[in-house]
Amino acid sequence: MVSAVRPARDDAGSAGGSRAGRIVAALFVAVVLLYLFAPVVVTVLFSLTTSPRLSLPIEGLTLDWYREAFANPIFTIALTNSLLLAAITALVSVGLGVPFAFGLLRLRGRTRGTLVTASLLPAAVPALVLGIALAVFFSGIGVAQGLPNAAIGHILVALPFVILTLNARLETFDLSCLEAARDLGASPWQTFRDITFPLIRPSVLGAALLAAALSLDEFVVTWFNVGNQQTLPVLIWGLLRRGIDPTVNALATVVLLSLTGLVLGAALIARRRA
Amino acid sequence: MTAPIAVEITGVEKRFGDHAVLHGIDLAIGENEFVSLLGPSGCGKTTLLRIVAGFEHATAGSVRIRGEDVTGLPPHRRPTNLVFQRGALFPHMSVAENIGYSLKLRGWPKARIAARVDELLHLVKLDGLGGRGPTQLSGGQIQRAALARALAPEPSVLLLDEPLSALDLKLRQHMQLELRAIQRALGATFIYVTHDQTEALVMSDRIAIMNAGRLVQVGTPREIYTRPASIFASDFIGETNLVTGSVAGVEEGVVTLVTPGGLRVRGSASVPLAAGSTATLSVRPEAVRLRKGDPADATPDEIGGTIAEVVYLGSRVRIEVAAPDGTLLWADLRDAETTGLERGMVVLLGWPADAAGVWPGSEGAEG
Repeated sequence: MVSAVRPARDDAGSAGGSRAGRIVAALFVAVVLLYLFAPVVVTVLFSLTTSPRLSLPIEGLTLDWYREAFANPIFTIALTNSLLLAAITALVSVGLGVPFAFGLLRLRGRTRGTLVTASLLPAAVPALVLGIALAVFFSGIGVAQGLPNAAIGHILVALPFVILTLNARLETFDLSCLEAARDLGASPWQTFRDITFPLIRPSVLGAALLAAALSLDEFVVTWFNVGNQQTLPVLIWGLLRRGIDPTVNALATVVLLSLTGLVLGAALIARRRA
Repeated sequence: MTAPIAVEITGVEKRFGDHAVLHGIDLAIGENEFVSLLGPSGCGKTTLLRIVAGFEHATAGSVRIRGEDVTGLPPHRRPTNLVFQRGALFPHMSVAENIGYSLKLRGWPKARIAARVDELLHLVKLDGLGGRGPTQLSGGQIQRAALARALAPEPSVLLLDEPLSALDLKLRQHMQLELRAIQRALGATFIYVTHDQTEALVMSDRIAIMNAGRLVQVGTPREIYTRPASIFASDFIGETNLVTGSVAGVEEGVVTLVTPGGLRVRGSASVPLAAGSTATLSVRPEAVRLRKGDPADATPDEIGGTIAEVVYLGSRVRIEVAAPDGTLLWADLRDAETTGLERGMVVLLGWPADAAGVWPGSEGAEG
């Protein structure tokens, strides 16, 4: 980023002014990066320090907070629920998104554009509104709060992103490959098994990982709909209400690592395809 | 044709909603025949090919292949294979897997598939490239692989949808001859869709010219070039001069046309023409003869004019002559015949009446 700024500064004035400009630019970049990463670094760091309070200098390193967090039976329940929700969200949103994206592919012009926009629009609805709307709806039809309600909310949050990802990939999909398979004697099912599925598998996997990542750290919609059940973000929020505890840092780090893993996985799959 | 019929298209119509793209197409294609469907884009040639392949369904009419009615069959149950415009190779399979795919579906044992694939790779001159992926092939190699893949299950009819259109001219010309050689060697029936008249002339046993959803003319390349059945056919195949005017008289099949500017031209009537009706004359540039001389010396078969342009085309020279009424006519001469001809020179040009065709109407007319 610094080097990108440099030519403009060189054009602007004398060599001395340019050097000062470079230093200012470098400082600016450093401040922005610090701002972006400090919270994450602090969380991870203090999940590993012996001191129960956020203080410097660091006295020693320990994994005790992780042991404590994992020993808590509620943590195991929350983790199981979160993973369950992530898996269901990934499966259902991909199950709905793939046929939808293929349907879009066969449409042309304005209908297609309208449907793409319509399917992405819910992503712009604030989670708060979505969470309250779902809670009101479920109580209206007399369904008690719980994990299924949260799952429906998570799918609602993830589906637009899944459709967006798949739609972008399928735009470059050569439909004549499918015709070629039919022409060579493949039934519709054989065409799907031999051609369509192998070709879209990386995109589908990437979309599924994205959906799982969105589900794993979803808090607002979950909190309004999950009732007295636990998920990792809901548990962390509950623990925070009783004061900052280093086990919270440990839990947050667990969520962070899982998410980073999912996002990196999705990115790697996408790159391998390209 | 003495050969048995491979494909019989009868009364095929196709409508998309209210829009008709094909009107009552009748066409019979013999075994071992190479037939081109030739026409401008949007004329319905690709739709007709896709109806034979089974990807589109005719609104009316039927398609029979070797006597069997396939009109209602889906593509995978038809004895046809299609070579797609851009190859449509399966990107996740090697060239060999692409070629062997149809055989794998038919349950052939692996060794037999491998032997057949090698044979086909050799046929299309891709020996040793079976292990490559489609992205590692050049444009020409992709079309060769696509051809081999379509030939693998030994289709009764091979359909080709402008397979060479994405290639550059040199490669295209080379592949045209090679395709023709492969078709002859296999004794297979090919239906080839193209908008390129040269391609159709080079490769075909017969050409079916289409325009606006109708068959305009079906015949050998020579028949179509020398005796086009309409103004459209004469204009679409090869290059021609078109002159539109009203019929001044018909005498023993020779028509005299008078343009609005008063120019008189003669040609042979393809159909009976009424005096006073509008008609168009078509004469190929290579049939037009040219000599230096004064308009006063013109024979009844000649018209006077001024050389407007001399274009050197290598093997021949094209002379553009402006008649007194403004009509522009091309004459193609051999280089040696053009010595001394310059722009602005007054000349006489003419052609034998039987070298020019005259049709009613003014379709496609130009100045």
